[in-house]
Amino acid sequence: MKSSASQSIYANPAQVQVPVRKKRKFKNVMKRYGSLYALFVPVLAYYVIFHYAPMIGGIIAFKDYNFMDGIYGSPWAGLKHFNRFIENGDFWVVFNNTIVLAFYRTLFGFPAPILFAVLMYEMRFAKWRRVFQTISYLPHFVSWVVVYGLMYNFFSETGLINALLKSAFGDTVPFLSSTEYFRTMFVGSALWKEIGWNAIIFLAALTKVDPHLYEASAMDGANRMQRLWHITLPGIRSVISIMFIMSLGGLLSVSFEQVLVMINPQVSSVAEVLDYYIYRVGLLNINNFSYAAAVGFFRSVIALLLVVIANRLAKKIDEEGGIW
Amino acid sequence: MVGRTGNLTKPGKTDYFIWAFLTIVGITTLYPFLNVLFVSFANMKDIVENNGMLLYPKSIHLDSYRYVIRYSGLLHAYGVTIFITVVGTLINLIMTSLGAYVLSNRDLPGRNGMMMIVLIAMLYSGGLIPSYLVVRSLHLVDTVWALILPSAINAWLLILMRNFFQGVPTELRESARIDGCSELGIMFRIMLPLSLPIIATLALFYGVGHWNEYINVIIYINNPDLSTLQLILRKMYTFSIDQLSGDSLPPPVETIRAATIMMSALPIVLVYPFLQKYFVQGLMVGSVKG
Repeated sequence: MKSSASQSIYANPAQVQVPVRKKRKFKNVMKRYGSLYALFVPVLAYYVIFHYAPMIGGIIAFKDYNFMDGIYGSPWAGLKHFNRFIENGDFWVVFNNTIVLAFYRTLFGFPAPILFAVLMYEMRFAKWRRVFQTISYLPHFVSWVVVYGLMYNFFSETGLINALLKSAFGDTVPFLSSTEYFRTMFVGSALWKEIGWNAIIFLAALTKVDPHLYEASAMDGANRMQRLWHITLPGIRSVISIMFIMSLGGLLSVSFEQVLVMINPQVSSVAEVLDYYIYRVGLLNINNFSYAAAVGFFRSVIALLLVVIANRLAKKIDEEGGIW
Repeated sequence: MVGRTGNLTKPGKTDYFIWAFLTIVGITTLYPFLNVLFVSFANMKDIVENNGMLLYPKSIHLDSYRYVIRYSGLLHAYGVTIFITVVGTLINLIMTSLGAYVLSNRDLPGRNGMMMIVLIAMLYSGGLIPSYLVVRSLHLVDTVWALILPSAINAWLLILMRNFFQGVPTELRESARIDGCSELGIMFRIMLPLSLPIIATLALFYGVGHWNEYINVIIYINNPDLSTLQLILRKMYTFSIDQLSGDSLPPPVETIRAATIMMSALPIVLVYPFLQKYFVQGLMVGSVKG
């Protein structure tokens, strides 16, 4: 980081000082920066209580937690809970669901915003572009519960689509309550909600493509498809690859809220993902805290690894590409 | 914000084709909202006569809205949601600007370590169960504070704000320090007034987050008196809506749900067109580095 280099310049004189002066330096630092540190105390307290305490509390995954003894007093259990979920068929169904949904979400959800951004960029009626943009961001800001309400209005047994199907074919389709359609509805609704919002980053990248390249290619007689293929897409290639890698980093975080809203007993065999499983086993049914915490620990560690790997890969593509 | 590729000749076939395609996408995005609005205005006669196919409003009735406001605890949930949104956003803004201001001092010894505290928490989470146990041990379960305090700082937004603060010339705070202004004074009198656009952006992201909050309500709230709008709305799809011992027939269940959707999405849909530039601005500014 740049700042560490500049800091070392200031730190250098201190290194050659004798220890007595070092104490003095600490005093001076506190005099100069003490009030800034004081302002950071509430922030630090927040992080310690709501982030670091739960991290330490994660040790209950290795214990047999009970309410009477608390986090620290409960007896150790070793890897018992980890063995339990690895040998448990339910867990693997849930794990599989998570991967499958993440796969479909990436397969359809990743290219769509790029296509949308390119079409927006290629569209020549500037006023309309404004209108389309404004409309396309809107669903991002309403809750999943509202989106579910909108879906229900269309796709439930009595919804608009089924009313149309019934009058045309005399039959209805259980879009929201059958395992057959759940994945389609899940990926489709996420696409509908986020396509415009996710296109923003690609639109921003497109504006940075050098306009001279287009002029030059026009002079060379390139047509529209050729310009798209040889200038526009290569121009945003690094953003595309970085976004792709980062989306792999978030593989396990298949929108918990969306699942929580869309799940029902008819679809749970394909809809239940890791986050929901942890919630169900730990809080909803039987308060099996240690077992659920073990699954959660597993999930957190994998998520961390994925993000770290993704960040490293993104940096390989572009020095500025990683998130840190 | 968007450049254009086409050459300067008249729009061709492709241009109209793209326009038509985007128009279809736009209608697909808007129509679900409009249709629910139409349904919320319908009465039993409209629904039955059209076999549930209500593509446009046949007549306008406000019965469903009246029903929802009077009977489903919606107004109470409105109160709870507004409280969480207003108080929560205020706490978010105070905590986030404190962190962002302190971390924006490039010469602060230990700054990198403090930044690490934020970053590590962003990358590794203790998980749902340990977080729940912490909130429970603080006796916050079944209080509005469980919906406010655990999410007091969003690390992304903190970094966004810090980057903005770093863009303000440091000479400003230096001279204020020389004039004897306290750090808190510098933050409130110099930095924050210069940062209104970023504060607006943060307030909107946090505010929308609180308004739409669902996961934490499910996890931390059992007391029906603390139901939020989203919870009330979601419950309408799981539980049968109470039949009332009134003198008249209640409106059809579809229209009751539609009216509730409108009531809970309306504030966002209404303010959204005016504020969307802030949302986008916020997304465009800065990255984690610096």
